[in-house]
Amino acid sequence: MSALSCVASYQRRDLRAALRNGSFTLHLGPFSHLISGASEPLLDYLTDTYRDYPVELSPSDVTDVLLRLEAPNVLRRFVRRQITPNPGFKIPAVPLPLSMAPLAFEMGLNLSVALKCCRFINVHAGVVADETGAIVMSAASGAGKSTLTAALLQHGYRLFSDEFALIGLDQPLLHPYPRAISLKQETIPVVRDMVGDNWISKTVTGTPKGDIAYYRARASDVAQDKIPTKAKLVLFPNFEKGARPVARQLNPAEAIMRLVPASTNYSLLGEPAFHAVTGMLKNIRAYEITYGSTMDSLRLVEQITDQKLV
Amino acid sequence: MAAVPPTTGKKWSSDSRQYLAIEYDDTFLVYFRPSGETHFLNFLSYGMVDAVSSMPLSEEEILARMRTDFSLTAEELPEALVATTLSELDQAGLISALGAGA
Amino acid sequence: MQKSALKQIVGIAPLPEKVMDRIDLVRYADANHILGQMASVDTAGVSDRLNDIFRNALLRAGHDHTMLQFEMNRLEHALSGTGIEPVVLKGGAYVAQGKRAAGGRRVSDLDILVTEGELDEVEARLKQAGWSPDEATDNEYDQAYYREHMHELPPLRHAKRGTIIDVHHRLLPKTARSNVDVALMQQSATRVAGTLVKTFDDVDMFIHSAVHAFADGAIDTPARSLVELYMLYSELSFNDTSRLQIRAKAVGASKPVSTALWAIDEFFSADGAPALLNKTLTEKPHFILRWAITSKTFERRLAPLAKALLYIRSHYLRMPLRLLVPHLARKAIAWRPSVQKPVELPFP
Repeated sequence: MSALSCVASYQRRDLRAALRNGSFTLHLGPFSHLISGASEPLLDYLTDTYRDYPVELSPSDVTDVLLRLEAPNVLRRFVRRQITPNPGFKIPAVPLPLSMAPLAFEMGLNLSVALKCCRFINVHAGVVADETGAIVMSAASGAGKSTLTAALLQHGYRLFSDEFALIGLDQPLLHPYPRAISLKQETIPVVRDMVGDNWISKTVTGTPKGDIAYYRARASDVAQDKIPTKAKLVLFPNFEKGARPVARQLNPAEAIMRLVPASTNYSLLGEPAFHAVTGMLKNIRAYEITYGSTMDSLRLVEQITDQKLV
Repeated sequence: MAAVPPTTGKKWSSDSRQYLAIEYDDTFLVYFRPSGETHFLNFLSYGMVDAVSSMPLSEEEILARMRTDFSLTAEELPEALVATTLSELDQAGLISALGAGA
Repeated sequence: MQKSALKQIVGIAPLPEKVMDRIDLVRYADANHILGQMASVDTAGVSDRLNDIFRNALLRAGHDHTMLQFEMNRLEHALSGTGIEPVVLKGGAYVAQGKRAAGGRRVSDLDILVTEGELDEVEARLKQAGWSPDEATDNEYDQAYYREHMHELPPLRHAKRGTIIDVHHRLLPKTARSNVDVALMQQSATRVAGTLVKTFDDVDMFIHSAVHAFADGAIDTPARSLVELYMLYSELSFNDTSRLQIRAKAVGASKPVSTALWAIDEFFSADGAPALLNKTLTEKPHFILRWAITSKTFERRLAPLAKALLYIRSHYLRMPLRLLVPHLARKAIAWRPSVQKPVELPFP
């Protein structure tokens, strides 16, 4: 694997050919992904947001994920071109205009990992870590999880993932899967102000979820994608406009019963998942935090971890 | 849901090899091997599962046991609560009536 | 797809050398729901990555098997005291009896067989225990259609667990042109150790699998059915195989069993191996059927045509024309895609 080169080291036409042949292979964290479907919007996106990610132009082995980005029908290959992710199983995906290829790509990868990969417990959560361990943040969309994740990255944390906490089955460690962070609607300008314009992708406008942009992962985070760590804190963030910052400690059993429904494969994995999740929560604390601003959320994390962040 | 059938004389039991339980301040996370499900039980529900694992007990015996073990009065722990809890535990498979579908 | 694919999947031919071919084979196995079966046999000397993918498939199947065992347990619980001993069919039977065909197999529903006379009580007991008509078929037309013409109750879904149970009282629809003597098969069903449920014996299990694949349905999952038939066949004793065709005749399943034997011979036998078909007892299936099965199984270019052909064939086999025409007309008008339980996906 050490011989892999990053996207930026290839010519665009070679990347295009590999996508067209269905031999473009993206390696990240524990997974390899075979992608097919060349389009200019996708190439624009990959050469920008995925520039630092290791790829092969022809796979050296079978891959965990097989994702085809294809037109929903022959007509839409030519007229008012559309694209839809095909992860190899039926999904309720709406065809998207070709310009939304980045969304189809991200959505397809998320669905593939969420529903196909079960060597880890997948919990829908943001995860960041420093040398003392990982913070797992599980929240419904709109609760400010992505903004908090982005903020913590500016304060000494590295990115594991903004979508998936991958918990190992043999040892309850978290495994990094640092894909780009998906930003929606009003979080786009917030994070742009925080991290600077050249870290944010072109905004995809008018998607079924409104405006979407992606915050590129740092090369250093991508480079550490094989280094797992133990959890140190579980948070259930909750953004409420104008809310006073409050942290409420949860009984670990309650925390687990809230993580379980956020997992796409906990019940599938049975006993090992029970051991892994209870193992992860052993000797660490869980909080529900409510806040009305990013600054407040950082202060709460600081109080809980006794770390100076702000 | 189905009406709870009369339980007079019926003995309940559970098999401690079939479940794993971890206690967190008076609540229990219980993994039940046969169904592969994780249940979140309060001390009372878990106390009932635990009580019938060493020896089959009737509903009346369970009621008496729970009142003694947790120092609860008849008001705090009425019969109806025990009956409903037993029925829920039965539905989840955590306990079963002896002789029925064993 | 190459015709050798099925042999590779059941581990009797080496995996393709080229990476892209190997990827295609895994994709084919996954799409046809036989990756788990492949994982349960093809484990020696494969790469770590392929092992990871196999492990995924086996974890999934493991979950299905736990679920199924628990559903059987709940079924017994629901029927306790009635004296009814249902015969568990298909996947449930393979899992309950630890058959090779269960290895890595995904199972979604529990299929059981009871006598027509037991039907009402079984339905009532299941409803009492929390099962109710699945919303996909919970409308007057479907309910009436199932009850009048089919060989099973409309599917019942458990309100809490979401699992589905199909209660059959025969193996083919009432209206089917040929029917199988289900009573004869029920008589020789054997008890699953430590339970109140039964399964067919090994020979009848194979016969039912053949009936299911070739006399019922539109051969919807040909690759999966063929792998299943191969695995069941490979576990039959010499005694079993020698009485197979006689038994098939006795229960009225000669045709599907011949087709099954032809298919096993065609898709799984090593070159030069003696044919399975006993020419004096059976006939080869019609060439169009052979062609349709082959092209549908291997996703050949003409597969859509083969699919259409098999769909009409399946309805023809299932019901007389008098019923078929209005049914197809209704399907054409009120075509509803099968209701998909939307997965709650938190992802964008």
